[in-house]
Amino acid sequence: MRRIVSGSLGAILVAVAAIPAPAWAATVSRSNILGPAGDDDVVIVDDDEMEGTDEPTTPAPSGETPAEGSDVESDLFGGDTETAASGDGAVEVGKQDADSEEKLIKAEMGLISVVQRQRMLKKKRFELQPQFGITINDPYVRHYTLGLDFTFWITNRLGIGLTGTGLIGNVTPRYRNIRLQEGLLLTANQVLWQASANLSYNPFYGKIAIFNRALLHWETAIMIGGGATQTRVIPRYIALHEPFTNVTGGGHVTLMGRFYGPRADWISVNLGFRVWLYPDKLEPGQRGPDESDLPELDDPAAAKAAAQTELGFNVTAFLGVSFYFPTTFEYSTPR
Amino acid sequence: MKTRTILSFLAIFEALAWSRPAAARADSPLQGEPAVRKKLQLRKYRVQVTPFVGMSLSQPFVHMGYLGGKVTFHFADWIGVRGTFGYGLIALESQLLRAINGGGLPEGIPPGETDPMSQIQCPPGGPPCRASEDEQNPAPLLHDSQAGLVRAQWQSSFDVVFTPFAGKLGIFSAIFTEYDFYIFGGLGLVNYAKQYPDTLSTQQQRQVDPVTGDCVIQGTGERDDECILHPVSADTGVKVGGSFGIGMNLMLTDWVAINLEVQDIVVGVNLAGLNSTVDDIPPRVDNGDRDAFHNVTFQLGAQFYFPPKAKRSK
Repeated sequence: MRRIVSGSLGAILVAVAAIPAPAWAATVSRSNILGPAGDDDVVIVDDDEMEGTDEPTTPAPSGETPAEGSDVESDLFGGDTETAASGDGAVEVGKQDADSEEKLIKAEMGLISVVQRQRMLKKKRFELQPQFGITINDPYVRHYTLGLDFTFWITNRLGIGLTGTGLIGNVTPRYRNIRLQEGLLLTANQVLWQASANLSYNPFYGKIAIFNRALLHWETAIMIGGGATQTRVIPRYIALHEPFTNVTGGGHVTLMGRFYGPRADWISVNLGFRVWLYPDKLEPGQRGPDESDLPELDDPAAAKAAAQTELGFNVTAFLGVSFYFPTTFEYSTPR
Repeated sequence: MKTRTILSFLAIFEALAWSRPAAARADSPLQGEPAVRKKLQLRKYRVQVTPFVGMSLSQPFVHMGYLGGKVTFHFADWIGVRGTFGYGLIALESQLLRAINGGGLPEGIPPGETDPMSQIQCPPGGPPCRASEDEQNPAPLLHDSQAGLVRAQWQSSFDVVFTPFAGKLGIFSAIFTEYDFYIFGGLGLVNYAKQYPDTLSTQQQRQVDPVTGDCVIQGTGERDDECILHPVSADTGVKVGGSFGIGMNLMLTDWVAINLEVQDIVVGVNLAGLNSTVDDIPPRVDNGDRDAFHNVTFQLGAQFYFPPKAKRSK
């Protein structure tokens, strides 16, 4: 959707576009700025850009009346709102139909977004995100995770990518306490790695005021993915039995927040939660030294063949840092 | 026309100012100014009352459902104090506890009945006896395990609340609302109560020699090995520890918000009430069997603000 802003705002935008701005100040694409129509600088605004659409279409030629009631000039500094534009591109006030005020309001409302000028645009950029995490749902086995997310952003909100995570797991004091206090040996697995192909979508974005002194921009992403994971059993009789591993399919749902600093266009700090679901093979109950146990299950391959399959899941809280390539981006809109 | 010309020049000067090196920007007229003027101060000098429901996370034996409330007062928009209390109304056995009760631990020979293997009668009027087939089993009998087990019956905390982040949230560019994130920390209290209050341990049903600590079978004077080898002491009462966590308020109006919070109260406790060390001879339950336990809860509440109308900053 194309809209027109004219008047002093246009002058500001021309000035900003004409001078090399510092890195943190987003630039305005010249291709979207029309030449002045008399005293009125007219700027085409494509407010679909944040939705990840293509670059703005060719600007309307000077004098052509744009669609959707944008044929009314405005002055964001106030005081000139009553000024009727002159020249070829001007619209005669007297010819406005009865709905002109309504159209004006509609046009102005269309120019206002909840969070104006999103801090970071990711469209057609690559994102590389190393991340560190910890599993939080299993009281008996704690995993520390080291992972890497790779995402290509098709639009500013939609991306596809790959994730690979290695996990370092060990039993918790709770696991040992139950063994010592209750005399029970728990059946538990540790996860070795997980890998998946993902689809990311950013439904939310906003600003945060920090002590009302600084503004931080953020986005929330929902990611779903499917892939593979490998687990390894923790033998109940660890001195007697070798563990066996199992590669299985699985999927995950991830909720992640990205926080953008005020100046760098190529980095964000991220915080997220990832839930993995996968069918897992557990050590057979009759793998043990008792007379009632089955000695043939001492062999890891036999134990794996006799293993019960159950649905496993782990929840990981992670902290990541994203690097974006190319390291800069350009706005094609003034807001 | 004149106004436009002046504004255009101002805009050019402004753009030139931003193009200067970073060091030269230090004298910006915006330096030291608030990020948002006329900001709605949703917390300053307001009391917040928050009824909530909560659920425990990562409890090994008994999952709890809580009903409680929080009262918070903010001295400034970013800092305040609060008190919380949650009482456990729902107690659900975990998968592990169900396994323990469902045959994971030996139940022993009921009093007055005869061990089918050894043909020895378990003395009537006392606790269950260990069966001959379980002589080598290091696990306690089920009734001893149950006698020592405790659950987090209620919890309370007194915290300092720190709200550094607040802003507006846009959802699909259509819905927007105010929100804030906060962290908190302070003093936490957890009261532990027995999960099975009517179950007595072997030790409780035997006479314990106050000098030697040996358990004897009433009437015979014989020592009871079960009583000696499996001491039980339910770790009930109020434990004091640290409270911390993170939360979020999503404003529905100026005076009510949805409150989401994760709170962790860390206290030293022995949940099973059994001995967990191997250097006590004979075994005994003492402070060394406690460990730091994280009572993590997720809470969902409705936060009401008083007075209902918030003021704006300058």
